[in-house]
Amino acid sequence: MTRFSLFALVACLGLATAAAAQDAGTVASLHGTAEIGHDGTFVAAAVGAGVQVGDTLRTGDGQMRVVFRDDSVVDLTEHSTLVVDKVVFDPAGGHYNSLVKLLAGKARALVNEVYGTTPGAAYEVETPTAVAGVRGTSFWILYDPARDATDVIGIQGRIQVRSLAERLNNTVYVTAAQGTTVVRGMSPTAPEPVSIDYLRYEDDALQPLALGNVGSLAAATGVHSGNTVPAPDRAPSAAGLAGQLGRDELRNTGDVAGQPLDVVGGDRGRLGIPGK
Amino acid sequence: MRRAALLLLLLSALPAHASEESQGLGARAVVAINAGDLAQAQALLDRAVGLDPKDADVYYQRGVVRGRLGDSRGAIDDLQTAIKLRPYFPVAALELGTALVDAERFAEAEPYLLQAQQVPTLEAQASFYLGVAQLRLDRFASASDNFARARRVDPSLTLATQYYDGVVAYREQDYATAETAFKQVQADGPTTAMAHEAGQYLEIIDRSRRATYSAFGTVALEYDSNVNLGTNNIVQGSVTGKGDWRAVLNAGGRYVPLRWGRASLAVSYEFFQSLQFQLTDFNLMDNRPSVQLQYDFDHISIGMLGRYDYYLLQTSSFLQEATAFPWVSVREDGIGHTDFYYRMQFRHYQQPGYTNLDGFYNFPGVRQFFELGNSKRLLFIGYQLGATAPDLSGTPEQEANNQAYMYFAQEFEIGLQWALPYLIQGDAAYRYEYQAYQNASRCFAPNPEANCMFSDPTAGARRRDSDYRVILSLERPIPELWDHLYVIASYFGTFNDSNKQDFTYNRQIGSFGVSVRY
Repeated sequence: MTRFSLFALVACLGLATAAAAQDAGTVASLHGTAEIGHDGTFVAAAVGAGVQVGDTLRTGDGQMRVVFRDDSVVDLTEHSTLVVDKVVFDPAGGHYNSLVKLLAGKARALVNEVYGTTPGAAYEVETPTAVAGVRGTSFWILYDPARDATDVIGIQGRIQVRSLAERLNNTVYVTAAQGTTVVRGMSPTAPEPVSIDYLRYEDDALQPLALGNVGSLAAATGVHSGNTVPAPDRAPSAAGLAGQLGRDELRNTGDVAGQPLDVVGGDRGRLGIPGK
Repeated sequence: MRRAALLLLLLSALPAHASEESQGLGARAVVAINAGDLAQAQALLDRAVGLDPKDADVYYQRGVVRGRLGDSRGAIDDLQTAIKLRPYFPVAALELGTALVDAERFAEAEPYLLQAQQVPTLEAQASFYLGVAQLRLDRFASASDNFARARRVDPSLTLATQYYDGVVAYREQDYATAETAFKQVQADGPTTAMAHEAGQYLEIIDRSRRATYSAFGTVALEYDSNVNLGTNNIVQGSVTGKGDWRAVLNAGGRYVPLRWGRASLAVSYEFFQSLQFQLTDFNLMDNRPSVQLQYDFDHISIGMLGRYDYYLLQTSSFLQEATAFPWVSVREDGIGHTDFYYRMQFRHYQQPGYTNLDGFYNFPGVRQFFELGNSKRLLFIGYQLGATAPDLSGTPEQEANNQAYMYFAQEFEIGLQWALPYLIQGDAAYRYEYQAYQNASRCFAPNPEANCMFSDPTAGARRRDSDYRVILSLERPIPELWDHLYVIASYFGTFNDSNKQDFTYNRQIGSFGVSVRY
């Protein structure tokens, strides 16, 4: 390799690393169709695609799971839109600050515990009516434009929920299996219990995302495509068949009235002289 | 949403904390998998499993990762755990079934693949691997059905399933079908590994068809409960009533020196030797040259076989036998085939006493074979007539003695040839023959008067024999050791019931042998 090409390779690797470093997250799973919007242009999402700060994630009839740099996970259900507003993840400096905006639909968030153990860290999910501040926990959040209201349901941990209306200072805390609603211009309702069946139902709907595309043992072998032939199914040694064909010919036609059973010794071994 | 959600009551505790963490790790592992970093994925999933040993999802994910990393046993363990935690888990069942097939645990794989097969998105792959498992279990009909199903659901599997159709047909010894399938694979995917392998199969079939030689050799150990040289107690002591072990050697070869289009001429030679352990007077040797002319039409084959047998008892000449054997075999597509034949034999004994059996023996018959699903599963029924014409060229007394062994017979048979699991070919048959002897047979005991055969027709009844035979055989090739090697175990039972006491006897033979075929 010449010095120039070596330099070019290093440069390319450097660029690739820099590009990867800019990703705020990665599409981990897809079920159905979804899109990623960047600078106003939407492209079909694909497993492994990078998500950058400022991107808009949009699902149609599908679901999408994104794993962020801070190891937080957001699942978007059908017909939802979410904007990645800010992802600051600086373990060296101890700075953790993330904000995503749910413009419509429903999302499930699983937030890295670092947000609950680092002073000043903040992970927030904002809707047009509310903000859910999270510290190492998981929850459902839904914004319904028709009602202009946000529902927040806790799955685990403690979620701080407040209205976006600045004149209001009411904050409620939702814990596991509790829910609250924030209608535009109003304070969050007092948390109320939520059925575990409801949560399970919602989680089951995300099962395809949870499994993810981990590949297939079959596909890994290449047998499907015809590019691999397992040893037991390969052509055997040629020599055995000639005897078999010859034997079949004798057995099937050459001695039709003879013993149909190929028992050792033939008639002679069993019967002495054949016939009477 | 709010009302619906909030009005429901809290019924039980939420999933454990670790489950959320394990899911997070699982999600990160999926990212690592899709980035091609399977080792990192496994490390994450190891942590996930440690955090929540009851999370079926992460066991499934780790199982696939371990399988892709070549850890077959680890993959099977994880996938089994996943299904133990969540009994209805079709995607895990599919991977477990696939992993078990890969580990050659075919019977274990079946129930998992059957579960996956019920899910439309998994049906094609599950059917394909189910077919592979059943092929390896020698359940060829089921395997073919599943390959066809896989192809129907997912046409992208056409090439692979056609290849396996060829393998199934080859294993069933249906070489015409195998050729068609392999040629299609070559046409559809000429650069694939399967096309290359299909070419190997085609070459073997073609080369074997053109082969002009074949040979075999068999050695066997047998136990005979009633050693004798034939069913007639014509010479004192020729039916011993004693059991004995013997070694049997049978070897031969076949050569096709001439082929003219659909016609062929074959010559063969076969050697037989039995060596009794105790009753060495009954050591028998046979030398059998034969020649056969055959012509094949599209659905009919005709042939004429000529054969000569020269038997020696120990080292003394015992019997010369000439056989003419015209036959016709008619193939009925989808049903089986029918064989018609006429076996004509002339026997000339070389030792005193046995010459009463000299003469012509005629056995015309028909046998119908029914294919039960494939060519290796056959039911057959047969009917045969028997008529003897003794040599009457001697003195009146010799003529009378010979006539005592003249008979007319009818034989019925039914049998089954069945491909069993583990490459075992099983055969079973039952035969019944009724023999009606001539007037001269009246003089046999209990009416041994000297002139009973002519002068005193009321002296006794004619001889009537009912002969029952049962045959069971299991044969298996041993490709694990050698492609040419076979082992054979068999049982042969004869139960002859006669109204003449000298001719009632039973005989049972057990045999175990090893055969080599080229």
